Amino acid sequence: MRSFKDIFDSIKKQAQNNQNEEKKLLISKDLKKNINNIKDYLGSSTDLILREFIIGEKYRCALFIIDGLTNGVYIYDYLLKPLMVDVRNTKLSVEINSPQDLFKVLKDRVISLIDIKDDDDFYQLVDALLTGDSLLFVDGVAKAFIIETKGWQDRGVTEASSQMVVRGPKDSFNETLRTNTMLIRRRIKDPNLRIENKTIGTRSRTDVAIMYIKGIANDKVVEEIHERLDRIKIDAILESSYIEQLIQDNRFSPFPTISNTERPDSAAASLLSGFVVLLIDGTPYTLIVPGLFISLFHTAEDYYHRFFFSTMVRLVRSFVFFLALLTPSIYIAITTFHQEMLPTPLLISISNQREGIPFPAFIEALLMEMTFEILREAGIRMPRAIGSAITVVGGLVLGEAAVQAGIVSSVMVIVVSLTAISSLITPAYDLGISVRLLRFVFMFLSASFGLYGITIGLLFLLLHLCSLRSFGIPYLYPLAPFNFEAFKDSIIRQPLWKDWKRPNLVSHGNVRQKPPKIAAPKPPKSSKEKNR
Amino acid sequence: MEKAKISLLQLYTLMVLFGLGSSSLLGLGASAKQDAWIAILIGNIAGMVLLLLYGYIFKNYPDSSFIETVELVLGKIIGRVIAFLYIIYLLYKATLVLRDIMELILLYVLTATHMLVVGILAMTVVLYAIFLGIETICRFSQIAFITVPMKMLYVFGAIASGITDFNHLKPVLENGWMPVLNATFPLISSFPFGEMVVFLMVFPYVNKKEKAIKTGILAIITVGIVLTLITIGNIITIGPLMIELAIFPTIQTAKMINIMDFIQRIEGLSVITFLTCSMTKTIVYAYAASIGLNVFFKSKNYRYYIIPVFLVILLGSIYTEYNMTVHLFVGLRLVPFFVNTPFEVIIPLLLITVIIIKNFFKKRNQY
Repeated sequence: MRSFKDIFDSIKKQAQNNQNEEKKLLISKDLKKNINNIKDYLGSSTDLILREFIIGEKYRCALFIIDGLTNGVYIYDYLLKPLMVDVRNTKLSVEINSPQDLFKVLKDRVISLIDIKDDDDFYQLVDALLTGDSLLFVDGVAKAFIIETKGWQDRGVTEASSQMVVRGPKDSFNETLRTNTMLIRRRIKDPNLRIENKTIGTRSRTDVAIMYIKGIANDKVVEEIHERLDRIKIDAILESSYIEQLIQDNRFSPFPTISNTERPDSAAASLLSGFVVLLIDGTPYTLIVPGLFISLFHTAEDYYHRFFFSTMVRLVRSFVFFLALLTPSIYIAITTFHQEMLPTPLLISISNQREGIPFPAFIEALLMEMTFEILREAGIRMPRAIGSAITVVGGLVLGEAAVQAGIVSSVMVIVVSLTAISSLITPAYDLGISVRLLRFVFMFLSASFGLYGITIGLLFLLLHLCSLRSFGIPYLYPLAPFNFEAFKDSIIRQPLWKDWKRPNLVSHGNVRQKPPKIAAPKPPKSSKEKNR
Repeated sequence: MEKAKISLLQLYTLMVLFGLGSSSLLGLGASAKQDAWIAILIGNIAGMVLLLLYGYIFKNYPDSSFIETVELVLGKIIGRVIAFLYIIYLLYKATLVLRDIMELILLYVLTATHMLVVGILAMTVVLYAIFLGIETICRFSQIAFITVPMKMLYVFGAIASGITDFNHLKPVLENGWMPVLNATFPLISSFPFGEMVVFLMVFPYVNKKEKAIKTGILAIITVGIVLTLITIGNIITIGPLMIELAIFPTIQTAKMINIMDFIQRIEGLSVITFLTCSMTKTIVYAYAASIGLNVFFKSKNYRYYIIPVFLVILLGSIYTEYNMTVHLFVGLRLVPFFVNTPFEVIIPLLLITVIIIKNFFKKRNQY
C-alpha cells in the first residue's frame, strides 16, 4: 500500500514541477532569437506589429505592439520619437558602454510614459503584449520593457440603458474595467476604498476587480469571494453572469443570489453600506455581493426622492411582485373553484364573457401567457425596422381579434396585460425572469388545487427563500432574521435625516452612517424681526 | 440535534404561531358559552405556570433536548420507555393538527377532493421544512408572523359589517364559575398552552438561553390575547349557540363578513391565513419528532427520519379517525384527559420531583 502511495505522490510532484517549469521561460540575450520566439508563439498574427530600429550606432532594438489595442499617440510621440529622434539630439551626462547601461538609461531618462517595468519571463511578456502593452527589446540584454500603452475604441460613458432614473446621475458603466473603477473612485474618495485584481479564464485572461471599503465591508465575505474566485477554472469569462453562476451559493434556485447593476451610483451606495462590488472587464454589469432579496426591489433613485414617495413606491413594488406572480393563478382559482368569492354582479359579468369560450380557464390563461412570452422574446430580438409591424400584429391579435373571435375572454386579456406590466415593475431584471418561470408553476397549482394549491406554493416559496443564503448572509435579511435598524431601509425607506445604521450582518460591525442629526432648520432671527 | 442557533425573536414568533395553530380555528371553551373568553384567560395563566415548570427542567439541562433529558433524569430503562412514549405523543399530536388542516380544506376550499391528496400536499411542505432545518423554520415563522395581525382583522371586519351584537357577551358568569373552570381544565390549559412542552426540544437552540423562558411567557401572553380577541369576535358575531354547533366557528365568522357588498364570502381567504399557523404547528411537531428519533437512536443525522415521520403522520391522520365528528370528539374530549394531561403535566411534574431530589443529594454530598 505504502509503495503505491509513494508512486502516486511522486507522479503528483513531477506534474507540479512540470507546471512550474512551464510557467517560467527566460528570454535570451539575442534579439533575433527573441523576435522569432514571439512571432512563432503568436503565429505571426496580422495584428502583431514589429518595429526594429537602432539607437545610437550599434544598439539594435525591437518594439512589439498589438495593433488596435494600443494608443497611437503614446507610441509615436512618447516611444518612437524619443528613442529614434530625440536621443540623437540630446547629450546625456551618463556614459553608455554596454547594452545594460542603455537599458537603464532608457528607463530613467528617455521613455516618458508613466507605467514601465522590465521582466525576463517570456510568458509574462506575451501576456502583457496581449493586454495592450508594448514590449521593447534591446539586443544583448536578457530583459525587456513592458510599457503601458493601452488604448482602444470603447463606447464611452453613456446613459444607462436598462436601469433608468428620472432624477439622479445619468452615467453608466461601460465595457472597460479602468473606466468603471474610475467612475466609482470619483464618487468615493475614501482612502479605504480597495481594489484588488484577479485574472480569470485560461484563454480570455479577463481582469476581475474586487472593490470594497476596508473597515466597512465584512472581511469574511471578502475572503470568501477571493476563495471562490480562485476556485474558478474556466477558459473564458465573457460576461459578469459567468462569474455569478460560478460563485453563487444555491445553484438550483430560481432566484438570483447575487445582484447586479450598471449604475455607478448604486454600486457606490452598495459599497458604502458594506457590500462588495465585482467589476468584470468587458461588461457594463457589475456584481454586488452578497445579494439580498430585498435589494432586488431597490433602485438608486429611491434615495434621491423624498422619503414619503420612496416608501410608497417600495411598498407598491413589493405588492406588485405578488401581483406579477399570482394574478393569472388567482383568476384561474376563483373562476374554477371559488366563484362564491366574487360579488354577484361581477360574477355574472365574468361568466357572461366566458360563455362562448371553448377552453377551460387554465388552458385559456396558458395560451395567453405563452403568446405573451413569444411576443416579448420576439420584441427583444427583432430588427428595429420591423418593430412597428410586430407591435401592430401582436397588439391586434392579442387584444381585439382574439376576444372578438371568441377564443379568449376580455377579462383574460386584462389579466395577462396586468401581469405583463407588473412583471416589468421590479427594478431587477433577473427577478422578473424568475417570476415569469414561477408564474407557470402557480398556474398549474391553482388549476389543480385552487386557492389551497396557491397557498401550498407560497409556503414552499417562502421556505425556499428562507433557506437561501448569499455568502453566509440569509437571503431574506433584514426581514428574516428580523433586524429593525436594517428594516428601516428595506420595504420602507426612512428619512435620510434620521439616525442611519449600516445593515449589521452585511457590514463589519454596526458603524453609524454619518450621524446626520440636524436640528430642524429655523429661519434666521433677524429677518423674522424685520418682517414684523 | 442539529448545529443551529436561533434568536429570541425567532423563538417568540415560532411560539406564537404554534400557539395559534388550529386552536384559533376551533371553538375553544364552547361549553362555557358566552364566558369562553374568561376560560381562555384563565387557561392562559395556567399555561404560564406550566411553562415555568418546563423552564425549571430546561434550566437544569440547558444543552440537551427533552428526549435526552428524560433519559438522563429517569435512568436507562424507565427513561428510555418514557422518551419513546414522548416521540409517539409528538407524532400523534402532529396527526391531530394535520387532520384539522385536512378537514378545514375539505369543508371550505376543496369540497370534492380526496383527503389523501390534501394531506400529501400539506405534508410535502412539512417534509421540505424539516429537511431545511430549524434555522429556516424559524426564519419562515418570522415572515409568516404577518398572519397573526391578519387574524385580528376578521374581528374588525365583522364589526365593520355591522353584524355584531355585544349583548351576546351578557350575562357574564350566568351559571357561576364551574362551567368556566370545566372548560379551562383540562382542555384550554393543555390546548394550546400545555402543548408548549414540545418547545423543550427547541429551547436548546436559542442563543440567549437565560432569556428563553421569559420570551416564552411573552409568547403565551400574546397567544392568550389574540385567542381572547378572536373568541370575543366569534361570540359577538355568531353567538355562543352557533359556536357550539359550528365546526370551525372562526371561519363561520369570516363567512358572515360583508363590507359594502364587495368584500364578502372571504372564508376561502381566511382559511389560508389560518392554514399558515396550523402548518407551522405541524412542522414544529414533525421536526421535534424527527429530532427526538435521532436522539433516541443516537444516529448521526435527523434527516434519516424525515420519510418515516412523513408517512406516519400522513397515514395516521387519515386512518386513526373515521370522520369529522369522531375527530372532534377525540380531539376535544378524550385527548385532553388521556394524552395531554399525562404528557404535559404529570410526567414533567415527575421529572421535576426527581430533579429536585437529585439536586438535594448533590448539594448534601458537596458539604
